[in-house]
Amino acid sequence: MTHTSTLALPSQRSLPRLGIAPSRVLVHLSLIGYLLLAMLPVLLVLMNSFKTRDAIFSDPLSWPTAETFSLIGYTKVMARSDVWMYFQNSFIVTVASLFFILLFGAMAAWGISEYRFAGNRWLRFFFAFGIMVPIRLGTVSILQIMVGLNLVNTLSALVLVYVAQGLPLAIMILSEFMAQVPGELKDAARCDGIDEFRIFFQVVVPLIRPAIATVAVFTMVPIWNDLWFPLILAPSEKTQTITLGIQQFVGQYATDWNAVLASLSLAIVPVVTLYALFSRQLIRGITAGAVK
Amino acid sequence: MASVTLHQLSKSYGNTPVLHNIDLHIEHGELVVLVGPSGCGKSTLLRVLCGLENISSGELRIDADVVNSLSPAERGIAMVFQSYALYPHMNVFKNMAFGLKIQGSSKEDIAQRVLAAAKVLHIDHLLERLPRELSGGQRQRVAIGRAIVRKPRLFLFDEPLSNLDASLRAKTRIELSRLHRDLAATMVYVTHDQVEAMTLGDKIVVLNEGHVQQAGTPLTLYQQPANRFVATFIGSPTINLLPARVLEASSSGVRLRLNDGSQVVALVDGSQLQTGESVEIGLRPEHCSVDASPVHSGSDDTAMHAEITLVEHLGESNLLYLKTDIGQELIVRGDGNAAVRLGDAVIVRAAPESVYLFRADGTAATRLRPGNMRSAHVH
Repeated sequence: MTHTSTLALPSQRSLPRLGIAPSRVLVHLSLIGYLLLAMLPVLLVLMNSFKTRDAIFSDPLSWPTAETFSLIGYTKVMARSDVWMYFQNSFIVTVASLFFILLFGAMAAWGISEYRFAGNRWLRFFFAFGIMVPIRLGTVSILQIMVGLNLVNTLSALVLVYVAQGLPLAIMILSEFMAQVPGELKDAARCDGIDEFRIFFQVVVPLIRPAIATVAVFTMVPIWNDLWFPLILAPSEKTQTITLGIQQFVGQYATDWNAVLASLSLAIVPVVTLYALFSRQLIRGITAGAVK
Repeated sequence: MASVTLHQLSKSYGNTPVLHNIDLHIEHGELVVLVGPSGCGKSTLLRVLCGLENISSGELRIDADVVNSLSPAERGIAMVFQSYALYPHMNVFKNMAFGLKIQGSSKEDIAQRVLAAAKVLHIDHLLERLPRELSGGQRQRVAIGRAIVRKPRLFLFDEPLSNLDASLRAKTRIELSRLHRDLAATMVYVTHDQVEAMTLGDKIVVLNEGHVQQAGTPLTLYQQPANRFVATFIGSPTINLLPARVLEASSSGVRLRLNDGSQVVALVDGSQLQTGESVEIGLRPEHCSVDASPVHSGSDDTAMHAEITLVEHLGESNLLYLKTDIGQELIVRGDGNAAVRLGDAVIVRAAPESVYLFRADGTAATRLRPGNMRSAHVH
């Protein structure tokens, strides 16, 4: 019979403090190195977004000083009302895609992990295949479909594509977690007379919340940052996302670096906020994950 | 409460049959214990009763209703699981109230029923806690409470005590027994623990390989087992089995010769037996006596010569592991005194009324005086 119902991830253990082992120093050094590598470009963008145009060019690696400090980029960006619309578009697309990916991903994962039916294995393969093949390979046919459906230059087109793009990974991760929810728990719920939908929403989903948060973070960032599909499927003035909108400041002959850097800095804020919202759950998902 | 009737009930997974034509009747308010070795189908039978598994063929009735195709809730069944299976994200109150809420009971009704059940189980001070903040015994009670509040027609228990430590298990066993009496509930209880089976059950059903071997009161199974399997399964340590040959048989007793040449009289109905037939006799460790100072043996008793190979002291008694002259191994329960030592030569006897007899096909001959006889003594 099954043992006590805990998810497989081990619980957090406090390590005894017996001096610092050399291996740990090495681990921390490499992690710090990676952090610097990852953060420096972001820092560079932030630093220069607060400088005058001349200062950006003369000394891009220095901090803004009293002389070089300027908010010209931000005022330029904020002054343009369409930038706010781009933000709104990005936000709508990301949140809507996320919602549907999590909802349908969790439901499909539940179906695949809980019920035995003909074709179950094939369906798993099918979704695994979706992780392996980049969706961009299908861009031409996607565009044809969207034209056929009259969805070009709508946000729905983007949402549809992103849901398709995010589902395979979501299903993969969530079905693994759902398989770890003890069977007796579901049986107990069935004995309590609870129907399958309620078992899913009221028993299983609360238990795999950390996994859902993890999936949310992993799928959210690429959607927010995507340039490819907005450029192809929704490049109209009304439907541009922020990543696409920023490109307007990049000209063929002259680039408004103040505006580009300022809008890039602004574009980071919403994802970081969303990440912070999920991160509490996320950390639990990685370290604890235990249900009991 | 309800009675349950299984008629020719079978269950198979694909082409693998798990339960074969089970016929069983459970009375109102009876506590039936299903026992058997691992993989004998006892847990499957419980899940079939519950409605978590489909019935392949046959009929399951609760009272007069055929419930084959009904869901667990529609059958009015509550089950307590081995791992408790409490909802980890709900507190004790919500755990117990969840099923009622889904049924659509009123808030006051739910609160009153949960509180009543919590009082009975002494968990009324824990209602706000989460399952992870409870001890194993408390979780167990919450699981039982969750079953009680729904006022089911039938309770099912799937090895509910196996995750508890020994002392708590004994305590909870007694509480369960009391609960069964107070609720006057029909219960089916699966266990592999013999003590639980013997102490809790009004009736024990011994299963092996998906067949019911015997169903009866605990004492019947112990004193009058239907076959060799039941005899070896009930009783601890296991009954000693010795091959023997029938010398003379009648309806009032059988005289046999064991392989080492000694003779045994068994007070069993031997009217079916043929002279010269190969059979096995069964001697329970607690019914044998060991004579540590071998003199001349009585003619009407089993008198096997053996040597002590191991002694286990249990406090109130001791277990003597013996090897007979022809290498047959025996276990005998002694009186617990340290009067015997390793390597001692002893004589083993068993009174005729204490001998079990099994035919070659495993069926048992009816014992004529099955009541418990003298316990073991070391002379």
